[in-house]
Amino acid sequence: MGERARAWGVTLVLGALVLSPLARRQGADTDDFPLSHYPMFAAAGIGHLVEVSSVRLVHADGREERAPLVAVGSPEPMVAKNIVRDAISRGDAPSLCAAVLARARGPEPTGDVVGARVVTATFDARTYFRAPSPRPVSRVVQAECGALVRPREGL
Amino acid sequence: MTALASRADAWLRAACPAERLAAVRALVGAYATVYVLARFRYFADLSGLDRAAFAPVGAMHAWSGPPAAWLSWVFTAVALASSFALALGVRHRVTAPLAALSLLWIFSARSSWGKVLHTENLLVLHAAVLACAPAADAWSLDARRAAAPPEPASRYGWPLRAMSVVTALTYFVAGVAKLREGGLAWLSGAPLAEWLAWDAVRKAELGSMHSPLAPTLASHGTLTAALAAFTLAVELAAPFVLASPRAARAWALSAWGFHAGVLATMAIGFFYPLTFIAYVALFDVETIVSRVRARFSGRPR
Repeated sequence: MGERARAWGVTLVLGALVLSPLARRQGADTDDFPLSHYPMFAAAGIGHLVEVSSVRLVHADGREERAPLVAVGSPEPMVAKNIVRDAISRGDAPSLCAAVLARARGPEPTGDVVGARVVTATFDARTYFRAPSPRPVSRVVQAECGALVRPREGL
Repeated sequence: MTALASRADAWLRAACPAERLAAVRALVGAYATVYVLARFRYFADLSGLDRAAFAPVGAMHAWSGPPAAWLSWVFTAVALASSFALALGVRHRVTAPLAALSLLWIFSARSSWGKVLHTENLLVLHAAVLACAPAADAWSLDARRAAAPPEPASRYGWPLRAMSVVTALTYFVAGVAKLREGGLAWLSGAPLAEWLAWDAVRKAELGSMHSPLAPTLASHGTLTAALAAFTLAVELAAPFVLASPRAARAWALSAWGFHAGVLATMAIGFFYPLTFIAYVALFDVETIVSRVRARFSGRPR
């Protein structure tokens, strides 16, 4: 291949590939790598309510804490979040709950973690950082596992 | 060939010192080496991921399901070794394509579990250009066999132009996405303010680092409107500044500023642009390297 052909070939092919996602239907579900249409933070009108799904470990006294990200399945918070979201949408929240609980407790459970919950909580972004301990506007328990006790009042 | 085509050809295939392309190769290779090394286990160990959540992107489209666990260890090791070889310029014709393909594989694999990360797109695309270019004719272990340093030539110029085109179009696509998804409302700053607050809340709840600036900034409409305008200007102007080297360099500084702003306000680190290596193809980077080398070699012993 001549140098001119190679120069133009590589530039035009890669340039066209980079532009090609513009021809696809937009939206996060059609994103790809490394040819992306960069849907992140592109939409308008998302509002002030933020829905976050997470796995909470439950202690013997009813206290809850966020499960370690690695126990959820990824050290990357956004990936872990999507693992939870996708499990809920597939109807797999109970099995995710059990798997995270098993990973968090390890082969020989020591602490006082007695169970876990897969929870979807909705927060108001306008007031979230003004409150010393922000509370969700709403909270839905998607699944519970282990030997659970009643949650603390107000959670 | 028409006058316009001749001008385009002259721009794309402008003669350039082999050292400039070599410096870009060494920097991109060094970045890839450090990046893969720092996150080796993250890329190599896919065993903890839920197989049911596999949603293939990029190179993973060729797989019918999640790849075997050992395969990601092999590809990550190959990516590390070949990136290091790319940096040093060892057997470039073999190792550079290997680096591009293995980086594409490991980044694709990691993004195939429901969350596509966009921090590695440009690195893979730049590695692909370098894989097609004679980027190890200078400042490399391969070049030690050469009798004399090569003369400036167009074969060293076009890969840098191609990398610049890819860089500019990547930003342009991101800008178009904002206009298509958010419309002109994006310019008002209101969507950006919502995203800043939304992202900070989400990260705080997930136990991830969030920017303390985000909540304050989100409540200042004028500031978010200015930042939104700056973001769209940087992204949409990218392809139009390439013809002028001075404008392209000014754009690169603006784009770096954009990423620094994203880091400060959203705690999202696009490290490839933040190290400035993503933009070095736009600069006479070999002169900087030569100056540094001259300075150190000229030191009194």
